[in-house]
Amino acid sequence: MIDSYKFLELKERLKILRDTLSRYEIKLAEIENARGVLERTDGKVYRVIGDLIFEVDRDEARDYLEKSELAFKSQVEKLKEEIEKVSSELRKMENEIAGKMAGMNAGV
Amino acid sequence: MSEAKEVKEVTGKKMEELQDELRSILGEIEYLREQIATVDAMISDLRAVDSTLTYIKEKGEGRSIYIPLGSGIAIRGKIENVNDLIMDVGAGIVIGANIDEVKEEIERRIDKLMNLRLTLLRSVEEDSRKVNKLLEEIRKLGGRKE
Repeated sequence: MIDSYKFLELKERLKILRDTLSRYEIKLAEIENARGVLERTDGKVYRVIGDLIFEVDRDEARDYLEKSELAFKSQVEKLKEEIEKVSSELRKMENEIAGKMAGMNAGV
Repeated sequence: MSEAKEVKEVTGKKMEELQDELRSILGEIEYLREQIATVDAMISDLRAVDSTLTYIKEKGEGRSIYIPLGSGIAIRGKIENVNDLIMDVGAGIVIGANIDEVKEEIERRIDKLMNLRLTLLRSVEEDSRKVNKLLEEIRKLGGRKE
């Protein structure tokens, strides 16, 4: 029997995963933008930590951006794998549902 | 099952599929329009900051102003140096810059947002064409069903 609760749960999970992925991709774009501005300007550089703004040197800022980028990229990879897994499970369940519906219609 | 009944069932099924697709595209158009409205609000904010900067550049040096602290509360202060600004560039990084650099950055952001707006508008147009095509198909199918 198709567990409809599981089906809905998977759909919801897929939505959450996609939203998270899109948030992380925005973060990566932000990092890319910050890096671009950092390289084309020569003013002082600061890092925001909590509500405070600390002056940092450019190398520290570059290092921080690189570490953030690596962290987000690894999260994005994991999320993509998870999305693929959940999507394939959902496809399987959808096919199962379609098969049952066709069987029911043929029986009419 | 008689042939007529079978044809009717297949038509009904096809109609359902088309209507599902139509609903999904209409939902996408609504989402794209919301995104366009968000982009418009961002562009409008950037233009407001740009005109404030233009005013500060021309008449700000040494002027006393009220600096907002939030919740409608402000404190009196003085603009000591119109060219000592900081701008948030995202990802937790803030850059010190003069007015012209900040204005250039604002222009760059507006350009990017305008390009994004154009892409979104094109998607809306494309989706609208799909909607018209689907409506035509549904109309034809409806006629056949009768």
